[in-house]
Amino acid sequence: MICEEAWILINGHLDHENTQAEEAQLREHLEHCTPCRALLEAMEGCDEALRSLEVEPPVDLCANVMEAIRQEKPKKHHSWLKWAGAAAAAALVMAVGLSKMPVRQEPETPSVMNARAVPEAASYAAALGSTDISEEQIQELADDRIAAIVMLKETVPELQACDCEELPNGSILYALRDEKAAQTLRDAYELNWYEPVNDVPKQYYALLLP
Amino acid sequence: MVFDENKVIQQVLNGDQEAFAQLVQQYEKPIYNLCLRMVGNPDDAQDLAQEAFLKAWRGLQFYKFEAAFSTWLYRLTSNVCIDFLRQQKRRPTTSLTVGDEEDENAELEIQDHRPLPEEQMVQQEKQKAVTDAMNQLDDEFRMLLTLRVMEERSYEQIAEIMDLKVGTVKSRISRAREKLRRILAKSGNNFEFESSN
Repeated sequence: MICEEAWILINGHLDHENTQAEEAQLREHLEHCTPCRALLEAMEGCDEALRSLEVEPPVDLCANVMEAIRQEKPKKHHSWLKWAGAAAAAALVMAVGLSKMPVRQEPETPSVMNARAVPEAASYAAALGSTDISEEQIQELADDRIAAIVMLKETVPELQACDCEELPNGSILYALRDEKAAQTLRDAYELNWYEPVNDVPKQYYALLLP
Repeated sequence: MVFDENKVIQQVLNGDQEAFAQLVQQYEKPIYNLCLRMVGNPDDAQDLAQEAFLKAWRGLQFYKFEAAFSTWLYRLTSNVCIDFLRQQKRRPTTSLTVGDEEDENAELEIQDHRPLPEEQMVQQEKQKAVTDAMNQLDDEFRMLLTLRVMEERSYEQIAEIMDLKVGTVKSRISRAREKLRRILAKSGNNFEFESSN
């Protein structure tokens, strides 16, 4: 075995991924190869030092997470009936074409029209037969276009300058400049993000529901 | 008592939000450490770990039980970290690598300035050297080494978390280790090894 092959097995050894046969091959090589033995020792030292960096998390991390969750509770944990009602309300708003509602800037305000709540609302609405929008369709769109898509239920000022096209179901697809623009939009309005399952996105869109 | 993760997840999905604390407690250490290694300072790491758990809570209804919850959570956390690093356009050196003598040991959180036993000093020097070297690696290598060496995730799980092929994970971990070792050797630390090739 040449040293380059041994290096692969050294990594496998460190990661406990070698077969018994590979371990035997490595042992045999190390018996007569001083540089590789030194390399293994150095790598083991690096790994050991890396593991020594592990620290305990801040004592208040869990408490802080749970406190933040409790503050979000009103908009997240409704009963099924409340969700069904929310979906119906959302569907009603969509049906009467109030897609140009004012932008809601307060993400913590409980609302059935909160952007992050849309997938659930759309899902329930689909179950009720009141809309044909589904997560699967948006995912298909992302796959077809090889695009990352952020989903909006209300228009936002950032979209005014974007090129757009209307889809058959009445949704409007806005072409975003680049990944950064999409991420900025997503983070600003806490939107859901879809991207192609098997590809790196080549385009970035904002999908405004009808 | 065995921690029944799926049962706890189902409890949360059924509306028992307090049960989510059990998931946080189960994973806070590896998730915080992943964030810390990725961003290099405790304050940002705490913020990002918290953000990751909040995203997990918000998105739990979309979690498919087909994949391990840990894989899903690690993937989510890695995305949070990568987003953060992109937004920050990570500085080439963090507070960990600043040459300021006063800040030199900041990350090690040394509160007591009395002389340390030699063994402890050696250990701290070693930790600082590795931390500095890790901070010189690119984000992907840093994440690979953290997931593999510190978190002891399998190649398959890392492949799922980072959306890479298993073979790619294997080869890149190898390259990441080698790069880390070379950086350490260059800085004249104890792990120095001069290849004969």
